[in-house]
Amino acid sequence: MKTATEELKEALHKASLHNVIKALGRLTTSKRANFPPPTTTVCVLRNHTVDNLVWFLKAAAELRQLTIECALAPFDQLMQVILDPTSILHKPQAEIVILSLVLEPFTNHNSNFTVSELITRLSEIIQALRDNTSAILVLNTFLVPVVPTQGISTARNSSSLEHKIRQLNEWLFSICQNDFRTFVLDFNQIEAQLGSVYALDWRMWYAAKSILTNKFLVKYAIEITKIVCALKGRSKKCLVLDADNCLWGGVIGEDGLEHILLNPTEYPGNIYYEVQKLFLTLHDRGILLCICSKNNEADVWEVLEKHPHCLINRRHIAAWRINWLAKPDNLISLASELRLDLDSFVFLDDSSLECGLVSQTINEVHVIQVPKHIWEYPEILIKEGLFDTLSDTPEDHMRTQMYLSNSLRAVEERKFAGAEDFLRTLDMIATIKLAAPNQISRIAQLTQKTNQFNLTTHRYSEIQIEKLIRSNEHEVVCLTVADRFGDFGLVGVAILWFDNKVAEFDTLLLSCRILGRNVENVFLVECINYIYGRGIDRVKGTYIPSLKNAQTKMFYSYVGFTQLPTQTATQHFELRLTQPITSPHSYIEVRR
Amino acid sequence: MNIDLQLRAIFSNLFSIESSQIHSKLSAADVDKWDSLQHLNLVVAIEEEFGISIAAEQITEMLTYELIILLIKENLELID
Repeated sequence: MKTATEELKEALHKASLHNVIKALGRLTTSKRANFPPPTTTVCVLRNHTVDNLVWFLKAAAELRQLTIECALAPFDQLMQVILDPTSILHKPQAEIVILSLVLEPFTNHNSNFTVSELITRLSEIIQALRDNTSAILVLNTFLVPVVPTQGISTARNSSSLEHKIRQLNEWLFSICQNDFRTFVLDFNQIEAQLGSVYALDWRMWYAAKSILTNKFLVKYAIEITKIVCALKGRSKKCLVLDADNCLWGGVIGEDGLEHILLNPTEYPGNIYYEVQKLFLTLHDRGILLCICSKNNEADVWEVLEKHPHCLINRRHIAAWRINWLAKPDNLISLASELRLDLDSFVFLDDSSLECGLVSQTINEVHVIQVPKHIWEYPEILIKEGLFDTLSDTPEDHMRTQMYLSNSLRAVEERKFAGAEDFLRTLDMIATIKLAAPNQISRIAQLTQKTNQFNLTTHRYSEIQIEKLIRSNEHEVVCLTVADRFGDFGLVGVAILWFDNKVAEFDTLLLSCRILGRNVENVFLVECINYIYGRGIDRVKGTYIPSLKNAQTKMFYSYVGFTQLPTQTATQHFELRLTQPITSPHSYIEVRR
Repeated sequence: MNIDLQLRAIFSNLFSIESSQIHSKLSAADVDKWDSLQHLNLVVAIEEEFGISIAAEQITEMLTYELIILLIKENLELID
C-alpha cells in the first residue's frame, strides 16, 4: 500500500482535487499528533474563482514538510478586506498575501482601457496592502492572449490588448525589483509549461469566473510554496553529486579520460556540460557541492583536474566520499563533517537503486534521479526550486570557502589532544556590534535559516528586521567572527527587547558553522554586559523547543540564569545583575 | 470499468459523505457541501476520472446522482 505522502504526491501530480483532499485527510490523521510543525498563515485575495488553490497549497506545502493555514477572501472584495481590521486578512495576521488577479474585472471586459489608469488602480491596492500588513506579497502577471486579437496587424498595433498587457506586466516586474517583500509569479510561464489548452478553461470562465484549471492551480501552488520554503528556512544548502553518468556521461573507470562524454559541441556531452554550468551557478550562490561516488578516488580527481571540458574543479567541492561504502552512510558522515542537517541535503544519482536506498534509509534527504531522457536533465535540477532563497547575499558566495577552511581546521583539530588547546591556536576574534543597515538582508536570512542553535526560532523578513533596528525598544546585535584561517562573516544575531527596566532576548541564534568553538558563550556574555551598560539589571531569556534546537535548552543556565517553574514546553529564564560578567574564554579576543 | 463505484469515490471525497449515504435520487439539496463551487469540482473530477468532456449546457443538468451516471454513460458512448 502507498504511504499517505506518496498518495498525496501522485494526486497533486495529476491535479486531482478529490484525491488530494482524500490524501490530506489521511496524512493529518496519521501523524504528528504530538509535534505539529510551525504553521504559515496565508491569505488569498482574488477577483476570480480560485478556491481550489487553498487545497493545492496545503498539499504542496505538506510535501515540503510545511503546514499552511490558508484563508480565502470573498470574491472581488480587495480593498474591503485589506482595510477592515477584523477581516480574515488580519485575523490571524497573514504572513503571506497572495493577490491573485485577472484583468477582466478591472476593465469590465472592455479592451479600451488605458495602461496608466490600470496602474493607478493596482498601485492603490498594493499600497494599501503595504500600509496595512507586514506580509510578503505574491502578485501575478496578467495572461497575454495566445491567439492574436487583431490578426496579422496585432504586433504593429500599439493599442492592441497584447501590447497593453505586456506593459502592465513590465510594470509589475519593476515593482518587485525595487521591493524585497514583493514577488511576482509569471502566469504566462505557468501557462506555457502546461500548454494553454491544459492551463485555461474557457468553459468554466464564462460559466463561473473560473479561468485557471486545477493543473494550473497546482503549478501556482508549487511556486508559492517555494517562496514559503525560502521564508521558513527550508532552502536546501548542499548538493551531493554522483560522478559517473551524473557529472559526465559514461564510466571513468571503464571508458577512461578520453572517452567520457563532456564535450560541449557533441551530444550527449553537451548536456553534461550544460548541467555542470548549473552546478557552478549553484556553487556561486553559496550552495555546497559534494561528491559521493563509488569509484577510485584518483580517477575522479583526474577528470576534475585534467579533463579539458570539466567545469567543476576540485576547489568547488566542499567535501567528498569517493569510496565503496554504502551511500546513506557516506551522506551521514558528510553531514557531520559539514555540520549541516540531513534535511538541507539534495542527493543526485543516476542509479535508481542508490536513489531508492537513500530515500528509504534517510527520509530527510531530497533525492533526485538523473532522468532516463537525458535531455530533461538540466530542467529537472531547477524546476523544483529547492535551492531558492529570498535574497542572494555576499555571505552565500563565501560559504563554500568557509566550509573549505573548516575542513582545514578539522585536519588541524586532530593534531591536538584537548579541544581547548586547539581553540587557543586559532586566534579567534569576535566582533560584537549593533546591526548596520547593510546587514539587514543577512540578518533576516539568518533568522530564516538557522535551526539548531536558535533559542526561539522567530523568523523575520527583511522589512521586519529593518523595523526592529529603527525601533527604540529593540536592539539588534550582530556577531562576526574571524580566525587565522579566514573570515566567517556575520554568524550570530541577538534581538533584545527593552521594556522599562527589563531586557529580554527575543532572538538569540548562531549559525551552525561557528559552533563548537565556545563563541556562543562569549556572545551571550557580551550581550548581557551591553544590557548592564544601559543601566538595566534584570534580563529575561526564553527557550522555545523546535525539532532542531534541543542543544540550546539549558544555554541560559551557562551564565547563571535561573530557570523559572513552568508547565509548558517553553522555558523561561531570568538573571539579576550586580556587576558585568567576565569573558569566559580568554583565547577569544572581543572587539566591540 | 465500474462507473457507480468510481463515482461513489468521487462523491464521498468531494462532499465528505459515506458511500452508504449515496442513492440514486441524491441531489445538492441533500448534501451540505454540494454548493455551486463544488459542483464545478464535481464536473472536473468526473471528466478526469472517466476521460470525458462535459459541455457547459450539461453542467446544469447534473442534478441527481442518477442523472450524472446517465450523462457519463452517454458521453462514454459518444467517444467510442
